[in-house]
Amino acid sequence: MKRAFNIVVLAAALLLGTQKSASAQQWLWGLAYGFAAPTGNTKDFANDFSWRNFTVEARRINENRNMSFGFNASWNVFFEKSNRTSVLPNVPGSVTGTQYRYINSWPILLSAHHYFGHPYRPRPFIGLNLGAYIIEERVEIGLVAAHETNVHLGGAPEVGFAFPRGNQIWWLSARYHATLEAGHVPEQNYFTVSLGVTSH
Amino acid sequence: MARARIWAASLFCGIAALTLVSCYPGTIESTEEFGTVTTLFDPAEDFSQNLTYAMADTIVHICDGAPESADCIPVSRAFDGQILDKVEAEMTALGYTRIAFDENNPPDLLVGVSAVARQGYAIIGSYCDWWYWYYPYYCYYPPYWTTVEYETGTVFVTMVDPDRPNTANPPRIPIVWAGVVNGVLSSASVNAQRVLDGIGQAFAQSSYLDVTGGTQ
Repeated sequence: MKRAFNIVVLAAALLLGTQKSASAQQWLWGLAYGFAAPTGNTKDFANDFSWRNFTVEARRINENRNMSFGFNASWNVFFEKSNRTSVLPNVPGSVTGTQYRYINSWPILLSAHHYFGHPYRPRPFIGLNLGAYIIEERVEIGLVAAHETNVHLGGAPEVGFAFPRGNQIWWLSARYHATLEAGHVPEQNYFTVSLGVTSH
Repeated sequence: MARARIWAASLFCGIAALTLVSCYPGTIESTEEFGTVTTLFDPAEDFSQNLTYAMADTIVHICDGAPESADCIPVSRAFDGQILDKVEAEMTALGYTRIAFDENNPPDLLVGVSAVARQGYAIIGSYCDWWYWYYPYYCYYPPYWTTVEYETGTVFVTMVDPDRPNTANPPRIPIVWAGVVNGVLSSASVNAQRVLDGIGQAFAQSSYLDVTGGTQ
């Protein structure tokens, strides 16, 4: 079982086309899965503790193995089913009914991380991620649906802990995502906690 | 290495499947979830000045006389009395007094109730489902498309202010408030209860109609 699990992790890295680098700086490729909790406007729209959080990560780590720069792409889904009354947009009035509310958020971010402590022992790290969030908000009520998709600028400070293990680095991290408003959609905010693995 | 790639491909397929199903989680569990209550009002209307109203004792069936191509469905009159009584009770609770219509001394508001039921159509594709533990998620193959029919019903409660100057060209009925109860039809008794509940909700979400001065 343990061997199979390791193979899955290794295979995931292979799928992403990883090659062991001969240079001192190395690309680390990884995957992460986690959960997300909305705050602020995101929570107002869809109050959901979401288990639909997935990240693909690439980090180029320096020779001293204390800094890395890279990029990541994530996908988070928030969903709420509720019976509520909402004010209608553009016209004076309200609507009540069972509402299915969805937020699909796809952050595509550049990242910078600083690692503390010995590179081959468990160690904490901090990071900053900046970039674009493609966010779709969708409401279904009765026989109609309304949705809006916008590109929001935003970022996510990050704290985490890395666990080196052979050629892999497992990590557990928390990010606080905050975006600017775009279109008719106000600022969005949510926390994510992810467990991931990178390999080189 | 080949084994590792097989594992990787499996992982990728699993993630792809989760991606497809997770964009829109949640499914509608009953036709009642299609029901909506919508209210609209004229922001220029001062509702606090309205104290009396007149209401017709008949529910207007909008489809009466409509051509067959309108996909109309006959609407039962079995529950008309209950619906009109419900509207009157809600108006009374909000502080309005019902009076007989007098052209020379018109009431502040004219309240009307109308209804329509129609056939609707939708085309749906084959779908995916959770199934056995050893094959937890699958999609029907080959994909197929089918047409489903559904029946929707709508009850309108409208308020007209006869004092409002009607300067629109062409002239328009000066509706100052409308409550729209809409849903997918089920059995007659269920439909009737949903209409009554919906009318109650329409007034409940229109607190600006309250002319009791907070005595309720």
